[in-house]
Amino acid sequence: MDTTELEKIRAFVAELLRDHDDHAPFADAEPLASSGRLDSLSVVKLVTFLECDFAVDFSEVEFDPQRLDTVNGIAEVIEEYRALR
Amino acid sequence: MRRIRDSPRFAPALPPCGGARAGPLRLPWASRCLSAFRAGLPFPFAARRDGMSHNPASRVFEQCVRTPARLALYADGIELSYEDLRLRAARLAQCLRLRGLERGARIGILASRSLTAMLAVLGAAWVGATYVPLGPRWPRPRLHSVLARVALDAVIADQAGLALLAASALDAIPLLLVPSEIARRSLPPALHAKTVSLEALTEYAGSMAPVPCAADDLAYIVFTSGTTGVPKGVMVPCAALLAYLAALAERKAMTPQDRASQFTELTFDPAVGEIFVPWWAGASLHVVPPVSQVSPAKFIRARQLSIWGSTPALIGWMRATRSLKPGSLPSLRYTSFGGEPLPIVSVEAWQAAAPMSVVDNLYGPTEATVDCAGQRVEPGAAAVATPGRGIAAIGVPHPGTELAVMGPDLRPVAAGERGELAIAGAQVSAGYLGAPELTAERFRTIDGKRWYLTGDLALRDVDGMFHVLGRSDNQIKILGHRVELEDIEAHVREVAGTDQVAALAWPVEHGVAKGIACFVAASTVEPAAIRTALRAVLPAYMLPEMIVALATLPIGANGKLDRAALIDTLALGARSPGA
Repeated sequence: MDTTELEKIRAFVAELLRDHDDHAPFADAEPLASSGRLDSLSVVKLVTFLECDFAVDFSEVEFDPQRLDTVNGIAEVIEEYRALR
Repeated sequence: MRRIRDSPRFAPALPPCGGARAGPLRLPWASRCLSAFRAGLPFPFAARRDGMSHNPASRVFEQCVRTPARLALYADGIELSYEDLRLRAARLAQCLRLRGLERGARIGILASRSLTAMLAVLGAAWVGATYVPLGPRWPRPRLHSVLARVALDAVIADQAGLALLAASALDAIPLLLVPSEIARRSLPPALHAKTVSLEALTEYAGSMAPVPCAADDLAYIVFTSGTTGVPKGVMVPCAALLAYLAALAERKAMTPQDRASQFTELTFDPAVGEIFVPWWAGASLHVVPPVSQVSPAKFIRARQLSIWGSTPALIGWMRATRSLKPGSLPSLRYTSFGGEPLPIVSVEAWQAAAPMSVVDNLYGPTEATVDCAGQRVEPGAAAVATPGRGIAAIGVPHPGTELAVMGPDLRPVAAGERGELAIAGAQVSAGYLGAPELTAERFRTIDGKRWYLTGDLALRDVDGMFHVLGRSDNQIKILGHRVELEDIEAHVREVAGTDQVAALAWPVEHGVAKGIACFVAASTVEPAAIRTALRAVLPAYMLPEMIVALATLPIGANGKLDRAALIDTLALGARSPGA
């Protein structure tokens, strides 16, 4: 995954955090949902984002919410989906 | 109401737990129960329950004594037996009592869906206190507005909750309980003396039994959206909670073999039923971790759950992630949905995924203790739908509850006629904290009987089944959260610097609100800036997805805001290309 795409994921995650008035920085490996920084509504928005902006089809890759817990995990899901195509 | 602060025994300056005062307490009844258990004799319970105690923890205690080795709780990756659960709850209660808290004390719980949260609810009940759930994701101003009004005697916070408490709020809390010694040490040194680590409680004997409670002792106070922009606290007495738990226990008919979910955040009142009902039955409770919240299929299979409960919104999320596959949830035998209307398409999707499961559509406002009516749909059967709405009927009242559809004169209307749904019976709560006028407006005594007026428009069909048709005001349900649109409008007015503000549910699918749109007129603040400012004062689920600036707001023939015209504007926008 190139830097621009990674930036795009980070920017989207930052926007979700800001909806919770959370302006603190986050690392790519940092757990976001399991730490309570993102709620289920945010994860649903994240799924829509992956479907719309990265054309991920969750009927083709198994949806494991655990993998959307970090920016790195999100990037891996996208990569894995691309490898399938 | 008697408050702990008025009691001369309230002593927040006691030494930390585990100090010289922490010797075992003499508790004859608890010892009697334990020795009866060991000797294989019948328990001396019955007299106690029929006598006076309305403490929901008493039946949990009985279960702990009866089946100490069985699994009681799975949370944060840890399994606790009933004996572990009893010890931890009793030690927490003992610590609270030694710190001067007793029956009637108020304990804030700034924790959710964690081991700490579960122990906090049980420990607070054990000592006869009122628990007050605080939202770990509330914006600080909302949290502080609640803290200022409820006057807590202690706060139990988990790691996530602790991060939310500003130093200013911590100063006002007499006693703070945190999960670990590490968390305690991370606090400013000035707070160490009044902070207790839950890890340190092992020094207590844990022999204390739940404190007997009276019927009108408050079990909990839960805050919900208020029309003025300030959340209102609903006060639920122990008797109302016990009536609700008994009704729910009957519907779920759990056995010690059952494995039940804890899905709901503590600030959303169904959590209280999720927690206590399995523990009354000797079943096990499994707290769904945050990452599994949108798609729990894997968790349900891994934990082999037989009982599930959530908001209907979950079905939509699982369908969106293609994780609600037919036949994929074979272990479930009972599922309840509540908090918002349940679309018929969702019932069908769930029945396909969980073919062995009952689907129970539960209905009720917080003011009548979680839920007070339900439609039980057996596996393979079709749900009774509410005509024209595509949603399941709310069914019939729980035992001990009476429902009536009232006309404008507050007299019941005939079957098939519309009116406002009113609730009477054992589950009706004590009203709103510190708001006697609001309480008097919604809780009415009619012909000697106390009714809560729900604001829901409803009808009773000729078969006696109740149907909800919408609201008589501007309250909406979003992802199970109850939201007064006026609450949002009050905050938008503030940040937009204009009186001309209208919030509405948008879009609405199958009678269920999916988001919020907001219109502003005569504001000099850009919509994007308004949204940014709102983030600091509103919880995320209340943030408008869309803010539209208009020159003026449309006014209808009656001189009131024309909400229908605003909805038309949104519908046109949704249809136009590029929108």
